Amino acid sequence: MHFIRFYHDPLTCGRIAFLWRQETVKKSAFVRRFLSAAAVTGLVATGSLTAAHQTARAAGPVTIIFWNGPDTTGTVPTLIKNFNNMEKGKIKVVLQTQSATTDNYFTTIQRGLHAGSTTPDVFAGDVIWPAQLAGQNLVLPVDKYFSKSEQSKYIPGTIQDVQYKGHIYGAPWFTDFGMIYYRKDLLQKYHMAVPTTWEQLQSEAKTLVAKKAVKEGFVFQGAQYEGLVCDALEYIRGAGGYVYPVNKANSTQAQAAKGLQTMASMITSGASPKAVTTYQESQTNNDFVDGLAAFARNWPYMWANAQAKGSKVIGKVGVTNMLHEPGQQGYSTLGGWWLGINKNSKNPDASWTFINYLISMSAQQYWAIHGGHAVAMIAANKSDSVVKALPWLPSVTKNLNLVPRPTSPVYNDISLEMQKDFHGVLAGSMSASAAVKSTDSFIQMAEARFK
Amino acid sequence: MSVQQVTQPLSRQKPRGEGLSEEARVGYLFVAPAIILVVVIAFWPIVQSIWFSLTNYLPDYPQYGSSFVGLQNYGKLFQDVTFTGSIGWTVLFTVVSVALEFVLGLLFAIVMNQKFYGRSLVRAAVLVPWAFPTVISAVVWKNLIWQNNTGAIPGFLHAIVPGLVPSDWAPLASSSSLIAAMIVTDVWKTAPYMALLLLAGLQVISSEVYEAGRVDGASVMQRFWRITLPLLKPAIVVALLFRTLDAFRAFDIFFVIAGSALQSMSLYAYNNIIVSAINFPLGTAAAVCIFIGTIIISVIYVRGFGAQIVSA
Repeated sequence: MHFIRFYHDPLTCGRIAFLWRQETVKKSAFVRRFLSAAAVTGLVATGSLTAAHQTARAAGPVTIIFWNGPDTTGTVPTLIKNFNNMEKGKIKVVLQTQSATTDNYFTTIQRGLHAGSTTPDVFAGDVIWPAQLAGQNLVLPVDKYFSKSEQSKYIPGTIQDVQYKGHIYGAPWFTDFGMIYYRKDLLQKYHMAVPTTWEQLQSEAKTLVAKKAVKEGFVFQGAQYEGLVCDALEYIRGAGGYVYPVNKANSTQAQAAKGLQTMASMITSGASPKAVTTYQESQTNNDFVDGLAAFARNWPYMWANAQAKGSKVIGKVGVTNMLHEPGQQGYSTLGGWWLGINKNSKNPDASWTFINYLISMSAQQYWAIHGGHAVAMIAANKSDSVVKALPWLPSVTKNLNLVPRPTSPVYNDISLEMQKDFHGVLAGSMSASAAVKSTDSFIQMAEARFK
Repeated sequence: MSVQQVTQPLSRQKPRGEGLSEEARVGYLFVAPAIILVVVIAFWPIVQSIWFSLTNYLPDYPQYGSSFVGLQNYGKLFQDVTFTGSIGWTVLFTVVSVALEFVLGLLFAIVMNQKFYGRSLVRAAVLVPWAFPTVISAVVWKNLIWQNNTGAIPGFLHAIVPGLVPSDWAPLASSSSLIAAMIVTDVWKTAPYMALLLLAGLQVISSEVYEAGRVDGASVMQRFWRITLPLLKPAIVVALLFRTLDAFRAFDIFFVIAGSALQSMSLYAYNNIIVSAINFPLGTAAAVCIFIGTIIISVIYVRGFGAQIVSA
């Protein structure tokens, strides 16, 4: 979901029809269950044929199909063009853009790989994927391409993310973490300090709305989807609670519930609009960039949009680390994207050549500056040109505490449960302590049964 | 149905010998590919789904094996408030949207059946919403009509009738306005389809019947209630049947506009079969429930209202 930066939602229903057009669909568990499910529910009808699937098999350059989430900054096509020019006659990378909602993108790729598809060769994916994909043996281990000394050039946490049971399954591309965006100009005008606790943010947001300085105080990702999990974990961890690992979660249920209460109080206090329970990243981004909101929780990408042509808040935006309860520390949910190779790819060597280019110094710098991301390569983030484009980067990363999402081969199910529980709290239909208990018992069950 | 159609005329010649006549045998041979196809792509998966819903088989974890668990999955299914809730939402969505589509569709059909200048243009224009794939109209309506800051409706209602809705009204944030938003979107998209089916029915009604009515001094309303509706009934029942089944299995509108916040039965089945790695049996049980629901709807229409699907 970290890729959503548009004024529209993705069209995602093509995936089912698309699965039928994979080149190699082996008879598999998925095909069987898809057939049965489709016949009964009539899901096939949702097919809208979008992506083109030309896979050149002729002589000449090797074609590498690259799947990525949408990127409207146009940075990825430029990087691919550069690479194709460098490797002219040898390798040609073709980009196929996937759904902007990571949950849907993941379903597409996981089901495709499960069915034995040879497309894509290379894909960019969310950091919660490696355990699920490697656990089901769907991605190629890249130990032979990616030496330990090379790995040490990247942020250690991002390397850990792509490891599973002693092997490395890809390369980190960029890293994501929650940040608080605020309107410098409004805080100055109304003599307010940059908030350090949720309480402070809430009271400042309320005041700004009451004074009609803005329409909305604070916007974040409150819709029932993966993004809500990321936001809620920050409140939970920022109150001293855990949802994972299980033993820590058990002993900190009260703190976790306090965190969720704080999140829900954003709406009940009037600091956040009621509509925030329908917000994903794109709505958060739209409201903040259109100058409708005073504060926003979002990923680093929004900085570039806030400074881009058409933004109503150019030069008026400040960024600070994630907030917390008094006496606690702020934690940002760890996101970010990595690059993996399909286990069935016909061209693993060429695939790695492309990945290796994307994680090289020049490509990482270009991606940071034009894509607006904190990238995985340590030296690139520290380089002058990147710091000039992302001035908040040094200060935010200096005080950055990260909270990972649970690592599990059945993360999808854990996430669905958390989405349901946390959204219940936001909508007022579930108490915070009941939500925490329900999440904890589900994760315990998943840990015990699906390790 | 195809078997009957082919064999009926042949059966008249049957008394010549025992069993099937030569021609009947050839007839069966000709329809065999169609029957085999139906069995393989429709019947077999249904049987398999029913079987899966009675086991604890997990396609992502084949190592756990598969054993028969009877109706256990159905027991769990009906304890899940998300599923029981989804039945309610699906039924509400189906009843209200089909009713509105019928009234609007009939109105359109009657208008389009009149002779007036530019009639073919109107007929084409009315069909435009139907030409959009549902996902696309759902995305457009979600963002440009219903979403709080980017949509037209919340701002418009607030502007024309101050106090009717609050300035921060978010139609998508509460279940009641969310289902209403989805129903309106669906009506916009499928009323033209209803109109098309009913227009076809109207065109078969002979103008002589109306002339006779006029000669006998029947008023416009009398002609509508006594002539149009009774003669249109076969077309109405078939159109309603199609739309009810479609609405009952609605997936795309819920998937796009509501996400997981308000699930239809099909979306519930999808979430459990496709997204989840561990709730496959529950999802297939839900799919079977949808299947049973569609059968019940069909039986009600065919037996209760005498829908003649074949001849229509």
